[in-house]
Amino acid sequence: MDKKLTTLHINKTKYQLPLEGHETLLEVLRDQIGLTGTKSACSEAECGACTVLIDGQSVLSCITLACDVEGRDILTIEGLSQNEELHPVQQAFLEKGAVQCGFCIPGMILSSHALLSENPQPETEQIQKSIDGHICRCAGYHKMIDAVKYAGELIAKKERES
Amino acid sequence: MDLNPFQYHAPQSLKEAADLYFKLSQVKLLAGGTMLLNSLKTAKKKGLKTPQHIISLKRIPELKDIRREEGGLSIGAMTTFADLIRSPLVSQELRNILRQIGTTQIRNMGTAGGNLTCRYTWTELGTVMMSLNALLSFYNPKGESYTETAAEFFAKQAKTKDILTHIRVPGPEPRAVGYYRLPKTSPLDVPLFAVCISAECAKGTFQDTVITINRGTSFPCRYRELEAQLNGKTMTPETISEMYPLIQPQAFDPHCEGYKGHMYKIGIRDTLKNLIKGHRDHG
Repeated sequence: MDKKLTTLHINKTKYQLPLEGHETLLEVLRDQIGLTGTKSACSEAECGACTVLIDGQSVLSCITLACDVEGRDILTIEGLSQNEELHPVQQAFLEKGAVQCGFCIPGMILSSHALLSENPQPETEQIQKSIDGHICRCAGYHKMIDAVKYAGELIAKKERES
Repeated sequence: MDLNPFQYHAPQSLKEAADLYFKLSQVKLLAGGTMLLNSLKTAKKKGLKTPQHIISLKRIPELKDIRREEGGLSIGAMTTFADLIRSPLVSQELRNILRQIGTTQIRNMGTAGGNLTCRYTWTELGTVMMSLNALLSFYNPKGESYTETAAEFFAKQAKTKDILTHIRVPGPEPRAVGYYRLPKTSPLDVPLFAVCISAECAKGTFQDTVITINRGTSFPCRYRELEAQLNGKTMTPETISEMYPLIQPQAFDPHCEGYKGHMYKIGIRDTLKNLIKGHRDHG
């Protein structure tokens, strides 16, 4: 197959990659760019570990063709924090002890970030709905829900202070 | 690599997509990808043949629009579930139904057209669109558009060689709608059984009722016997109590002994409850 130079905008950095067309975004992120924060688990759209944000919306990178998101704004877990400071959602997950093995956490944090960008003070049910596409095998959902609520508070506090 | 190699195409217009699609062989259309890419991965694992060409429809603006037009709501085939849920043009009742389907990521990725044409029997939008008397518009190799009802489309097992471009939901919507789904305990959230009931309700009674059943293992079908019994009845909880003993699941599933029959009856009863509640809340 011929390769085509494809431009991907990932974490505000432009990458130009020769792609054949059949590569998934997950494969490109992990194997070609080295952004291994996006996890590869089921590879069949069931677990949510591979979640990234495309134009602010959570999608499954294991069933997204990299060529299909050319020119769109891709955010992975590596792009969330700024400089050395954790993003409020990351900070909240840390402080609330919402991480156990951590494998589902990059996707979970990105979905939570997408929710809080639209709804800074979500109710429990809205949080449950927004992370319904993620499986946590440690079953630590309660602390995660607490963390998302707390992240909303941290974001509001940060906005008041700035 | 998870997928076998293929030639990727990204046309910018419907005509360009159609020219490619009708010219190439061993070709598949790519909508949201939630069904197709998974099935291609499975095919690769099993050593089955996979298409040589994939045509992505994502860059075709004319397939992404949602607009109110005379006679109802027009939904571009590439509109995602999330787009529909966010759109103020879509009725609150339909948005509430769509919120129940899939996970957040699937709703962000999955498209109306992809869901209707992927030929998995358990996909849910077909059940809803049949109940709403929706019309499906297709584009054929001659460059012509034609329309058929969702009911006609599913009666022929959702087979088409043409390109679905739009879904038209008749309206404005005085129709009340109720939906019920019984999901499997599975992350993919595939329903074992789903029911959608819609009815005209101008006089507070069921009129022109449409009941669509999806048993998961076959394409959606109508339950006409109960439709006829409901028409003319008032939209009240008492009607539901009156109708419950009349629900005969054998009418749409001859093999529904035991728990399945009860499951269907409860599902239809709860759909009617949802319909009446929704009509009271939004009507």
